[in-house]
Amino acid sequence: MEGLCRAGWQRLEEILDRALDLETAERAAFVGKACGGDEALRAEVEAFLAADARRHPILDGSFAELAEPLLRALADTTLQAPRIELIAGTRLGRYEIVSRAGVGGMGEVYRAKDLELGRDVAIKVLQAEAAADSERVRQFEQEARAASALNHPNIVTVHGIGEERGMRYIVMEHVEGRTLRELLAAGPLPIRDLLGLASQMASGIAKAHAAGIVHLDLKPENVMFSSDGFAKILDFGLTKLMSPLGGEGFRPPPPSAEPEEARPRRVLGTVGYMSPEQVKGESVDLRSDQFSLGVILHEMATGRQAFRRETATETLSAILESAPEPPLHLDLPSRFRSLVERCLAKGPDQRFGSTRELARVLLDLHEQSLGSAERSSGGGRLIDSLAILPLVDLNAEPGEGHFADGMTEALIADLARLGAVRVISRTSVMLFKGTAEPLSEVARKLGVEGIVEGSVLRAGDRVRITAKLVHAPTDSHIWAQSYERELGDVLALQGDLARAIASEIHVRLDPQEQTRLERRPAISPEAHEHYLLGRYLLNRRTTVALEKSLEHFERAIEMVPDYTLAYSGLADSLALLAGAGHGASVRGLVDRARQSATKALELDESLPAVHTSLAFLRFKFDWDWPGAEAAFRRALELSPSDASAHHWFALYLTAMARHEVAEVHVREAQRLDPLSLIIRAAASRVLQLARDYDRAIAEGRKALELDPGYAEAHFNLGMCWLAQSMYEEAIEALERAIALAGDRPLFLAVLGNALARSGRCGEALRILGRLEDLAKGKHASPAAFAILHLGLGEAAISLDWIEKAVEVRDGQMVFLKVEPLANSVRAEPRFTECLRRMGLAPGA
Amino acid sequence: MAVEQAITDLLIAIREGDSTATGRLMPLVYDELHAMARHQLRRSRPGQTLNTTALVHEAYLKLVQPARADWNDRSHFLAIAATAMRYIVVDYARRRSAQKRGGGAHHTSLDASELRIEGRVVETLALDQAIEQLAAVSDRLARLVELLFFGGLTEEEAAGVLGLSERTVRRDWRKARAFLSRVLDEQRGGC
Repeated sequence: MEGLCRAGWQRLEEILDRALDLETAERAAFVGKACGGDEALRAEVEAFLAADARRHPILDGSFAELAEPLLRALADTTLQAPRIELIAGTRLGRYEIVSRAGVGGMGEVYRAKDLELGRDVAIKVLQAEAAADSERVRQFEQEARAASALNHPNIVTVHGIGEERGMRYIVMEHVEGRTLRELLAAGPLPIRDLLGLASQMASGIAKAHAAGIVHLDLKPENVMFSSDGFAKILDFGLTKLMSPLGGEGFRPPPPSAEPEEARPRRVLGTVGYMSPEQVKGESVDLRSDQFSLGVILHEMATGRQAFRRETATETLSAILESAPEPPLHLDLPSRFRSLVERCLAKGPDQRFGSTRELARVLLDLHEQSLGSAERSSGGGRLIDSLAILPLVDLNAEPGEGHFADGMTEALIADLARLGAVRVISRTSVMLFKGTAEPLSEVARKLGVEGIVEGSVLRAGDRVRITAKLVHAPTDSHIWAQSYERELGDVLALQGDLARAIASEIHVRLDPQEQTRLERRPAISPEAHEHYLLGRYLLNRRTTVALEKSLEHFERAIEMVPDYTLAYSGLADSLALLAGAGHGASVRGLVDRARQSATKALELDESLPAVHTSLAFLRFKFDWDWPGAEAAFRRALELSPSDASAHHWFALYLTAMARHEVAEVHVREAQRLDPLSLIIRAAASRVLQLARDYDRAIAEGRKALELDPGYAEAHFNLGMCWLAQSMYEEAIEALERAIALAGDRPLFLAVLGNALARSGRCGEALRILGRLEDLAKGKHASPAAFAILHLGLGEAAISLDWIEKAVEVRDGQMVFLKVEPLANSVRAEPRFTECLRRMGLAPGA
Repeated sequence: MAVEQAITDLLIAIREGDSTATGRLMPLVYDELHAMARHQLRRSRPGQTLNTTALVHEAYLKLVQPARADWNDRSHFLAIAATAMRYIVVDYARRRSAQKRGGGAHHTSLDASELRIEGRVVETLALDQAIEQLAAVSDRLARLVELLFFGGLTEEEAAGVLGLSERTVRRDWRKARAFLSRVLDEQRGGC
C-alpha cells in the first residue's frame, strides 16, 4: 500500500471494478489476464479481493458503536486537558520555577529564574495534547526559531525552547505589567493613550509581518503593557501550535469538499477576534492579523467587543455579516475611525496592503494627538489628501515645460509613497496646469484638503524651487519655502521638498523613506534632460510620442549606464506601446519592456512604477497570473497611492472573475485620479464584466460628461448594450466610437458582432472585410476575428480564431473567462481547453 | 439572526454556486451537532445507544427551514453533517490521545469504561488516518466513507448526495472498505 499514487490506484481500481462484479470462481482467470504478467499489480489486486471477503470488526460495525463511548465521554467532560502544575523550585534545564503566573493560550505560564544568566524569565509549559503531536512540535520549533529572531521592543522576545521529562516549554522575556485584557476591565481608553498603545502594537505587528511571520491569534490577552510603558505582543508565531483541535476550534472540510482553488486551511484563532477568512477556513495571511487588530482597537475605543454575541455560532455569523457594534464615537479622529473600518473590512483585499502602512497612520495620529495638545491654538490641522499642482516653469517658452512637469511628477511619486496621505495622480492635476480657478475650487474638484503649488527657476547651473502648501477648505497658507541647488543635484532638491511637505502634514518618515529622500545621487544635467523629455513624451500616450520617448530614455542610459529612472521610463513606455499594439511586433516590445524593467529593479527594487509595468506585462502578455498579482501587490505596498497600479490590478482581478475586489481597486484608482478618463472607462469595463450593466452605463456616461469625444467610453456603452441584446443602441454607440478613434480591430469586431446578431449580416460581412484589410498591415488581432465570427454564429470558426489568439497570446484574450461575448461557445470542450491552456480553467 | 436562517441561507448559497458557502456552513453545523450530541447523551440512560442516523436527520429538521429548502439542500446538508460528525469524534479522540501521552505524571487508575474509551480512541484515530490515505488516491471514495460511516446515511441517500447510482455506490463502498481494511490491518501489524 505504501507509495500507491493516484495513477496507480486508477489502474488498480479499473481491474477491481470488474473483478468485484464477477463470481469468485471466475475471478482468478480474469485477474491473471487483466494484470498481464505484472506480478506486483496482481498481488495488490488479490490483497484487495481478500480484504473484501474478510470481515472487519470496525468497518462492519456502525459509527454509533465506534463513536458512542467517545461522544458519551465528550458530553461528560469540560473539554479541558488536565493541567500539570509545577511547584516552586522545580528545575527545567537551567531555569528554576519561581511561581505560577497564570494560564496562557496553550499552557501554564510561570515566572522563573535563568540560573546561568541570573535574569528573570517567563516560561510557558505546553499543554500536553499539543506537545504530544510530533508534527506540531516540529512546526512549533520552526516557528519559535523564527519568532526568536524578531527583535523589536513591541514583541515579547523568545529566548529559547526546551524539553524536560516530556514537557515542552518556551522561555520568554519576563514582562512586568498588565495585559490589555486587564487594562480594558476599566472600560474604554482615552484616545491619546489608545493611540500610543495602538501605534506600538501596530509597529510590532508590522515588524513581524515584514519578516513573514503572522500571529493569527491576536487578542487582548496576548498584549502586555509593561510597567515602563511598552506594549508587548506575546506568542508571535506560536499560534499554529496553540490552536485547539476541538471545542471552539473547527476543522474545515477536507479538500475533497471544496474546489481546488479554495482549498481551506485549519481554522485558528479566538472566536471574537477571528477574521472572516479564518471563520470560513480559507487561507489567511497578514491581513487576518489586521482584522484582529481592528477588533482590538474597536474594543479599546468602545470598551466592547465588536462582534461579541451570546454564542460562538452567532459571534461567527456576526464576523461574517454584521457591522461592528457599537459604532465608534464621532468625537474620535476621522482618520482613526476610517482606519478601524478598513481593518474590519470583511474582504482582506479591502484592508491594508501592508501593515507598515497601517502602523504609520497610527503613529501619525498619535503624534498629532500629542501635537494638538501642545499647540492648542491653530495647530493640529489635518491634511490627509493632497494635490501637487503642476509647478510653473519660469524659464519655459509656452508649449515647453517638461522640466517643471518632470519635477511635479517626481514630487507626486515621492509623496505617493508615504502611504499616510492620499496623493492625487498626475493625470488629474495636469488638467489644472496654469489654471485661473481659485484653489478652493480646484481642491473641491479633486476631493483634497491640501494643495501644493509652486514654481521652478533655472539660472545658469542652479535650480530654485519655490513652493507653498495651502489648506484649501480654509484657504490658509500652512507653509512656504524656497530651495536652491546645483542643477546636477536636482534629485536631492526634489527630496528636500518632499521631506519638507511630509513634515508639514505631520507624516512621520520611517528610516527607509528618510534615506530614500535624503541620499540622492548627483546626476548629469544632460542625461536628466533626456530623461525628462522621455517622461514628457511618455505622458502624451500617443504611439508616435511613445516611440520618440524611447530614444530619449536610451540616450539618457547611454550617458549614465546605471540610470535607474531612465530604465524605468523605458519599461513603462515599451509596456504602453505593447499594450496599444497588435500582431507580431508586440512580442518584441514585451521582451524589451521586460528586460528594461528587470534592469531597473536590479538597480533599485523599490521603484513602484516598475513593478506596475512588470505586473501589466505578466498580466496582459505572459498570462503569468500569480506573477502579475505578486507584482501588483508589491507596487501597491511600495506606493499605496499609485492610481495606475490600482487601475490595472482591478482589470486583472476582473479577468480572474474576482469582481468585488476589482471594484474596490478601481474605486481607489478613481479616488486617486478623479479626472482620469481612462480610469473611468476601466471602472465601466469592470462593472460591465461583472454584469452590473446599469452602473457600468452610468460610469460610461460620466466619462462622456467629462469628454464627449472619448471613444473608449462610447465603446464601453456599446458593450453594455450589446450584452443586454439592445442592438440598436449598441450599434449606434459603437459606430460613434469608431468614428472618433478610427478603425481599431476590437471596435470593428464588436460592431460586426452587434450587426450580425441584430440580423444585419451583410453589413457584418463588410466589417469582416475591413478587419481583413487591417490584418494585412500590422494590426492582426485573432481575438477580433473570433468576436466577429461569434456574432455570425459560426462557432467552429470562432473557436479556430480563439485557439489562434491563445497561441499568439493576443492581449485581448485575458478576459476570456468573464467575457459575455463568448457565452455561446463557453460550453464547448475546445473553449474549455483554451481556458486551460491560459491557466484560467478551474483547478488549472 | 436565528441559526436556522443562517444555515438555510448558506445552503441556498451552495445551491446557487457560492464556493465559499460550504466552508462557512461547516463550523455552524459542527457547533450545532456537537451541542445536540451532548444534549441527547446527557438525557439518555447508560446502555442506551446514540443513533447517529437519527442525530443527523434530526439536525436537518431542526436547523433547516423546510419552506425554503429543496431536495438538493437536504443532500448538501447531510454531506456536511457527516463531515462535521467525523470532526467531532476525531477531534475528541485526538484530545484524549494527547492527554494520555502527554500527562505522564498524571496516571489515574482506569476503570472498565475508561478502558473502553481508550480502545475506541485508538481505533478512531487509526480509521481517520486510513481515510486520509484513501483520500490521497480517491476523494470520491473517502467522501463516501464519511457519508455512510460517520453520517449514517443509507446507500440511497449517499447516492443522491454524490450524484451516483446506487449500484456504483455499493461497488465503491466495497473498494473503500477493502482499502481501509488493508490499511488498518497493516497499521496493527506495524505497531
